Amino acid sequence: MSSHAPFWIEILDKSGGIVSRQRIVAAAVSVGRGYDNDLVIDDLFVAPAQLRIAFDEEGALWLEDLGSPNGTFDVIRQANVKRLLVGDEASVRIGHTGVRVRRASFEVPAALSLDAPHAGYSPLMSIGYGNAAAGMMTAFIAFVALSTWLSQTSEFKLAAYLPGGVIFPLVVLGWAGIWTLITRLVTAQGQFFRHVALAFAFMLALFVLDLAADFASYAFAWIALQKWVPLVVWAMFGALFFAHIRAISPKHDRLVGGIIGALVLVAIAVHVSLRAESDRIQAQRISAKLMPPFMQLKSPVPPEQFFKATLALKPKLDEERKKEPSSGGLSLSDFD
Amino acid sequence: MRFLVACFTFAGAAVAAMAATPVVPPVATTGTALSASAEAIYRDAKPRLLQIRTLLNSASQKSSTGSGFLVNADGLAITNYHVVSQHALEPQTYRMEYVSADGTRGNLKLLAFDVINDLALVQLDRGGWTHFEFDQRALSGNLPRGEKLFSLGNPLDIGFAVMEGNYSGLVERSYSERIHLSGPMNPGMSGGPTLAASSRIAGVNVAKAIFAEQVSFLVPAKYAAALMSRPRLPEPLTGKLTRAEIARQLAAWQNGLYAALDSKGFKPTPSGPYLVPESAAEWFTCGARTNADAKPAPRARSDSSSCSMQNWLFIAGDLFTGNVRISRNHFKALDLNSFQFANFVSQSARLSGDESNAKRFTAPACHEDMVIAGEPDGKASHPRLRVMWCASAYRDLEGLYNVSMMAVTQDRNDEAVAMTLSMSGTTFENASRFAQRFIAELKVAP
Repeated sequence: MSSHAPFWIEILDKSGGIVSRQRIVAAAVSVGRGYDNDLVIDDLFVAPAQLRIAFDEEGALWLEDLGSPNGTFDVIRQANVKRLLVGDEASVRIGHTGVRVRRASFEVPAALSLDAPHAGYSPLMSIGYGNAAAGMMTAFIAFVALSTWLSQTSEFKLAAYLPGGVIFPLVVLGWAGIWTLITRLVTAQGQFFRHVALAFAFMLALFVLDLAADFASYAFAWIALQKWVPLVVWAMFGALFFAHIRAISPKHDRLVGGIIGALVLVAIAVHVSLRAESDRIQAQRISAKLMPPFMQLKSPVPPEQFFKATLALKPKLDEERKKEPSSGGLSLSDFD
Repeated sequence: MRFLVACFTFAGAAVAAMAATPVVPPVATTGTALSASAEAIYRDAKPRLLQIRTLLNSASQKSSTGSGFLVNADGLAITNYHVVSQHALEPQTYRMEYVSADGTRGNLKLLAFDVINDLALVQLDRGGWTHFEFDQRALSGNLPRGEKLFSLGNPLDIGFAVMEGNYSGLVERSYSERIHLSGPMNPGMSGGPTLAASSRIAGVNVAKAIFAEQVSFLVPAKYAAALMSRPRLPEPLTGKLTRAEIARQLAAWQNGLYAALDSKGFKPTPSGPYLVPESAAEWFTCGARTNADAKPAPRARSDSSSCSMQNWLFIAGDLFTGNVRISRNHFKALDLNSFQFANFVSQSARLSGDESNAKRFTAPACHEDMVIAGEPDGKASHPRLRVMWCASAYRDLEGLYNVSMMAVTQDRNDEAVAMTLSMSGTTFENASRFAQRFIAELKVAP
């Protein structure tokens, strides 16, 4: 009988991800561990003859337990069933394996808009994780190589390119490997390229942030900006963890986001409270990283204005000298 | 060249008991010259000499030793400020003691000090002393060059000694007035007198040059004489009072210094395409350095020079102040693109502080911006500058700061000059005014 509309059987992992999917055109299929079945499932908790999925005379599709010792569990009703009518869809668990049956009439939602990301969507999806990983890695290596070259003041040394070209990428791949392993332990797919793409995107963002901060402090004389860079880095770290965890399961976005957000806030709070100390030490070496003169975007101030601003430092210092010393001051051994 | 302040670190050797010598009657007021021989000088001077010790109150152990000399019969004596500085700054922790030539000891009280000329006036606990007179020619600055002088004191705490030297005039190119003595001086002699052949005071031992032989320095007698009439410090002495007095003296002194620097003005000095300011005052000692002969061959030239006033005033063992330094570093790209050159300049020209002296200074507060001075004045216009300014406050000396400023020209892709101005122990206002004048003098050569 081939007048029945075909249907699909999907094998799911624990978190609901699809491991395999098969189109069925026959009127009946058997599912179980035994090799006499139409669909073989390698799960030691599944009976050799576990399930039969078949159309009846009226054209209704039924799912029937064949007397397995562990039974067939209806995920929707949350109960063991002997027989289950498949409407558009049925989802059961046999042993540790999820089985979902969907008929051709099953309706899927409309396509998502690329402009409106939502749960389960990753921007990297649209270009493919493999391409994204290769692209991010290339961009990162190229960026680091370029900035190494532009900052090189001694003669050419290949060793100067070693960190950006080899060491960082290897560390990033190792990091992505760890996440892949974790992902694979929890779900059916490790999603290596997705993790690689995320990790390189993070590293690239880190370097771009650093450059942007240097640029802003030179071009606009926003020296104080440098202070905020570490805080942004913490937030970026949080985002990286969020994205990695999301690759494992997008189901708990809010919970994961909330926990990571809270951890980031704690890290920033600790950082700021420790900064009072580290700031003093860093301030010993002031240096705007100079850039070519054409990159100045702020018009220079007249000296009167500059020195007026320096006078404003006096009350701050007078306040400071009353406090107990904790770390160094400026002495005049400054020129070499 | 750096000056080692003689003596104050020395301690520990046992004091040899001095045999009392017959007391020579006080020097006659008629001014008749006594024997010029060192032997007679020594015999005559010995009862008027003192060893001055600073002791740790809790342990009664010597912390430092120096010398001093009596200037009146009631027991008024003069020494160096640096000999008594520990007691002056922390009177609760350190006390002072004198040992006279006959071995008698007693307590000393600090009456006044002159931190600029490194002098202190102390009072012995009893009177009835023979004492020195000041040499009139020394007071009026009329000692002839080459005149034999006799430095007295207790070198290395091994007994009173006399050493011969020659008067070589005042130290040239020095803002502070010091006598250049061609003769030896040793730790422990600080605060002792140097006598003219008349057996009268020509100056007070203060320092010697290290890395040099027989180059020593005296504070001219006139400052010691002036100290005797200074108002006395209030009693009881506290560290707070002393610090306030030091700050007051330094503030007044640096007002004079910056007014003098200001009136001397700057001489424009060519440096690549720029005219950079150099102080026209003669008190600076300069040195230069280049990377031209570095291996491997540098990809940018860096030629630097630094001019320093060599004007360090002793405040405490770990605190010297009063110096002004002007440095410049001229950079020229040989084989670097504009990004690489900017990075080269950033690496080479930076202000950095010394983290170790948190006890004395606050952490620096800094300001940084792009600056351009004035309109083109026809002949020379001003380059765009990246200016960084940092100041640290002295914790113990209210109103005084260490200030450093660096200005890097920012108008060329392949050439720049970085000027650094470092001022220690200044008021904010003087530093600001001097630095502003300095910036205005940095120009593009016509």
